[in-house]
Amino acid sequence: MIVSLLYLAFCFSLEQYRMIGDERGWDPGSRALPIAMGFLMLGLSTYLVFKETTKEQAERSIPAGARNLILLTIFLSVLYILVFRSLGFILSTAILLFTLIYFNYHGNIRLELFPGFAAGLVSSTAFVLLVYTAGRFITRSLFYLGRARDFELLTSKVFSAFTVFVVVVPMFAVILVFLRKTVNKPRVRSVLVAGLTAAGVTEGLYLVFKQIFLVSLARGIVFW
Amino acid sequence: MVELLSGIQQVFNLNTIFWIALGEVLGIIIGALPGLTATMGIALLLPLSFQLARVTGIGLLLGVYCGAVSGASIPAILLGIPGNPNAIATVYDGQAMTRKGLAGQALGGAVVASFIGGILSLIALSLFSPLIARFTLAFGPAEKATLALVGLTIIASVSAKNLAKGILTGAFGLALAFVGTDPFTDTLRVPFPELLAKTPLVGGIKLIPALIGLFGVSQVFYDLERIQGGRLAPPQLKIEKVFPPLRKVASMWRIILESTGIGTLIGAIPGTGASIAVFLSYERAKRITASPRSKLEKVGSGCLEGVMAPEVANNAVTGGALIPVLSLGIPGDSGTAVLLGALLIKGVVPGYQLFSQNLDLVYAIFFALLLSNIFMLTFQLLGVRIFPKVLSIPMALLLPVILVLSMIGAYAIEGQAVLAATFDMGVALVLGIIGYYLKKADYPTAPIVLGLILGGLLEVNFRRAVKLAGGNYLVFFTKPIAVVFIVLAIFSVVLPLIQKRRRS
Repeated sequence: MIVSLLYLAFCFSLEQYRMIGDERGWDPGSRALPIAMGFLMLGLSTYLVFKETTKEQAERSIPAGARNLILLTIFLSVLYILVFRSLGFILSTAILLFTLIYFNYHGNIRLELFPGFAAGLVSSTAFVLLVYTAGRFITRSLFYLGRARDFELLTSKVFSAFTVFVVVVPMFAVILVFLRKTVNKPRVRSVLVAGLTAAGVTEGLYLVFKQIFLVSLARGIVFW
Repeated sequence: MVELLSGIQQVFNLNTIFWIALGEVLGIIIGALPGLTATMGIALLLPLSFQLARVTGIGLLLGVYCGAVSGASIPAILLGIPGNPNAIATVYDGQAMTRKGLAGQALGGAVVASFIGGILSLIALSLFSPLIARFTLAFGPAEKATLALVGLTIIASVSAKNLAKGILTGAFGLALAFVGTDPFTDTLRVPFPELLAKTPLVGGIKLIPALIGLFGVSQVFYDLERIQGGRLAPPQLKIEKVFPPLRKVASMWRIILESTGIGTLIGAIPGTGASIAVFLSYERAKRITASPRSKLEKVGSGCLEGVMAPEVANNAVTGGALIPVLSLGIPGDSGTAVLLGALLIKGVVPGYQLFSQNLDLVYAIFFALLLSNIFMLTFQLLGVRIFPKVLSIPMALLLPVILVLSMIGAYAIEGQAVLAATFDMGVALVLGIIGYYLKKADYPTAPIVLGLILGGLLEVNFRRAVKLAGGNYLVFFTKPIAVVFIVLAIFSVVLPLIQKRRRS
């Protein structure tokens, strides 16, 4: 109902313009349909507000643990959008992913989880940067080599992305197998799962969107 | 003939084949994960398709659509939890077959049924859509405006349990579509123009970030409530004898044909969706097998007949739902609403023009759908022991990945203009939060999408019709086709009310 009222106020604040060459005023005008929609929404939302039962209101309630996770997700998503350009895609994405996976894994946000979170965040970010730097090094080396030897395939964006993928996947596989055998504590395991997933997804998205489709993902402070 | 060859050429090249195959695999995985829908899969992959050539991008999305619809049968059969509403009716006999140790045959039967349904409905699509599209030749502004109204009222009335909620969200979608710039005068229609006149909002709410927000981001928030449930445990089953006996399949010809007919017809009626089709075909199969003369096993007892009937129907919906999309520009369900948005973004304008001037593209879409169905059959049969493993992916891990995919997907549309791209991420997040709230309050989100898609069409043609009629608002009642559409719109609003009153 509030949204409808705000929308109506916005519609009435608009000036009425008609089509060019419509001297007789036959065109309903630029704000006719928006105003009609505003009134329709207001009428229906008023009806629904009065009709809503307490049972329906109760069904809308969110369990406490989930509420914290949802609020954390919304807060971090807003922060992600705000710092995306300054911090850059690699860092902001890796931090967002690690944080969300870590707390989702534990199903709630508790104080005793924070020491593990801090240690994990630092090591996970370092690992993401390592993977990214290795990928950039491979891509650049292939590019320079291709140019020097006049070998076009090496300069191709798909080929370099594929090469990075081929190098990085075994890296992840080795770490995963090693950690699976050595780490048994659930809390440490959650850090590792979150860290590896964050690194893998971040690098994967970078390869697909930036390297293959040339989307201008913000570099931020990771300038290399 | 030239168009046919061109259509074949556009699909049967390595690049397009690769992306359709990838879309199919991703679709099956998305469909197999309970809670993730075909609509969400299409919305998530829309930005990727945007970067590809037209037919390749459309092929990728069709692959996801077909894959997700058929993949939903995996958890329905193995766990008794439908991957999405399309597989609700598959649960009954599918689960019973699993308990009998016939999981392999149930999964294989579901795949074969999906393939048959998909191919037969594709034939219907290629036969009927050009005929229906021919009607659009007679459409002027009044007819187009009322057609948009019909599409909105039907989807609003069918997708919601409460009619008022459906219409309200449809109106909300239209209201969002009107934000930006006036289509005739280019004057601004943004709040606080002094502040926002130079922001990307001037271009209006873009469809892709809106779709990603409403179907991707909102689903993440919604599923976060269930995260404490942990991961699903796929049963340790021996999956044997995957391919159903051909003689058995042949003996079910009547069930297959009737389910195809039901699926295609229901799919072609805008706003109905697969969940109605699967129940109708399941009930029909129940009646056929209950007949004393029938030699088939009784549906409900845990048999192949009970798995195949709904599975034929839900994949027949895919072809059927594309009939109004390609011929009229009105989607059959929320999945095709997103597909329609993708087609429009790719420069495909549905209607007679598409069939008369871009026939090669129409053929390419048909062949892409054919290839999607072939890949679906191949991958599902080959991966019948592999795909169930996706059920063990914990939601705690999956949801943040979907969130980031949604954000980057929304960003990638304006990938070269960083400010506009960041704005799109904001649009996806805000609409994601709105979509979550609406889902919680039992409001449907599909009408919002349709409002966003049809808002421009409705406004431009409404104003043009009134102006051409000299300011006469009754012009819509003077054109026979427009009157038919108005009657249909009223009918779609009144019918659910009558049904509700009868039930109560």
